[in-house]
Amino acid sequence: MSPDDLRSLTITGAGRLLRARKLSSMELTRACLDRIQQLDGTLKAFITVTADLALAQARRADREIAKRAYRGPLHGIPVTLKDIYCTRGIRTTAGSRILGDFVPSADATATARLAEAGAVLVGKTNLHEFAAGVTSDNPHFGTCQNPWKLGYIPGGSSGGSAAAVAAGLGLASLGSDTGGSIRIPASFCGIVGHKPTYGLVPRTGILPESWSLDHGGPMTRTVADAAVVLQAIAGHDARDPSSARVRLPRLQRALRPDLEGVRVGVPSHYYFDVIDPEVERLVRAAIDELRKLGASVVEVKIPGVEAALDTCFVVAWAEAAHYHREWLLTRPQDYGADVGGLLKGALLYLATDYLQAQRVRARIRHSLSEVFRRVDVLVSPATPLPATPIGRLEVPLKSRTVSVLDVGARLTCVANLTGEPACSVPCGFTRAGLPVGLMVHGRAFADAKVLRVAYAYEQASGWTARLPGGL
Amino acid sequence: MSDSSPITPDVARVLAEWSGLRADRTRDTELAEVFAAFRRRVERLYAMDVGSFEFDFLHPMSHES
Repeated sequence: MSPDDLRSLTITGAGRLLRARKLSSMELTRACLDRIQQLDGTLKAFITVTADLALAQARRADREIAKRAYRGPLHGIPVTLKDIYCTRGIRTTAGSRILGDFVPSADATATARLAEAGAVLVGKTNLHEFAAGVTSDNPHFGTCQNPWKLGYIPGGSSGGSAAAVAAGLGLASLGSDTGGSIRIPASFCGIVGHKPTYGLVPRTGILPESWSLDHGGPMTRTVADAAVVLQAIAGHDARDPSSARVRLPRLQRALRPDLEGVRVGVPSHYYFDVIDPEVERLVRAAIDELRKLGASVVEVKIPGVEAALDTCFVVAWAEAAHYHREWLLTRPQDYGADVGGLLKGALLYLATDYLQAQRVRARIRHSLSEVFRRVDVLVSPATPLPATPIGRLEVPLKSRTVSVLDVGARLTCVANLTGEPACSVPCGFTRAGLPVGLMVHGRAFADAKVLRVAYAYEQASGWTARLPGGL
Repeated sequence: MSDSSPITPDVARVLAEWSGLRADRTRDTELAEVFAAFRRRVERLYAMDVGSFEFDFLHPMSHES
């Protein structure tokens, strides 16, 4: 196969070829490693490349597949991990100087589950320092670039993971999402990012930002691939106190090309109040497409949702400041300016502030649970803006100036507060060639329904077939 | 803290040291802005009516049961 053929492969497509032995894991893995070598000096998507490990795992996968010991759809597939997932014997930095030399003695549960599924680890990806921001402009490991347009952010905090998947440096990645850190970069980089229901994917061995908001989940080129990866990493883990005892259905069987009988809610306020006109046009067109696919579409109100960003911000930074307190007191100089400044500020939150935020959170959760009595999913933009230029903390939007951090997480953070599943799927491109994501948000543990809606739209629209040019 | 008592760099230094941070004069102006922005965010949350909602995050999926 030509390098271009290999680059365009998805997990499901590559899996069929590997199983039929028309493609070897070594061939596919070498192609990814070659592209990393060729492109990562520019993209800065990786913190650590694990070439030797990858080649050993690929060789083993090929041996096993040849003996008909096929482990499943991830067997022999090159993947990456956000450098916040612990990897035994491989440094795990969280994109920080504080943990620059940290080498875990055990794998994260999700890391181990990917390995058991036969996946091949090609490297650990760059991120916003400690997963606490949306730009992935990392002061310690380099500024990660958007493969669709150099000079623009890939989003964050899982920016390296999104850039790696979009640029064909691995067929999937695992990201983490506290206020949108899977879905924001997925939206900005034109890939699929799914934040599962809270508790579905164990967080054992994922370095924390905020215990009550953190989620791990898949970042892939297609919805079917996201289903494959989620199926592999989900499931109860007794070592994670937030892990749910829920049996996940066979996700791939839930993926259908139509939406007959599906009730779709479109928020009547907040979600479209602060938005780039091009993003709104693309998302409204996507909603029309859902209607054509058979969905019934109704407007819904979500009382209190306008406080979501403030609530998420206070809860996330208060919990993060608690986790970081000892380092903030003893090693303040080892933090980058933006993350260090915000963490120090968060040391000043009062317990009463945190409790007020949690009560507002309960109100928002109540509103969403009422909405999900009437509809199966909510759809909206994943982000109100496309990717922004690197180095800009504020950007113009219509007649105002908005904070990239605040606007970036404005819509995604709602599902972190509620713990409900939400997925970003590409829904088109701006005139400047930047991707835009449609967010599908469902009720708790209805991950299959969320992926079904995203899949039907993806099949009808075909946006995920487009790859970044010039790389 | 209300708008009538702004967080000056001197106030920021006191607050930072109270929260355990090392003294660092070069950081005080920046921290004053961060503290003020954080207070504004919290004040907006206190303006929300949460009278009938308890703090229940320890059971995050309770509405499903």
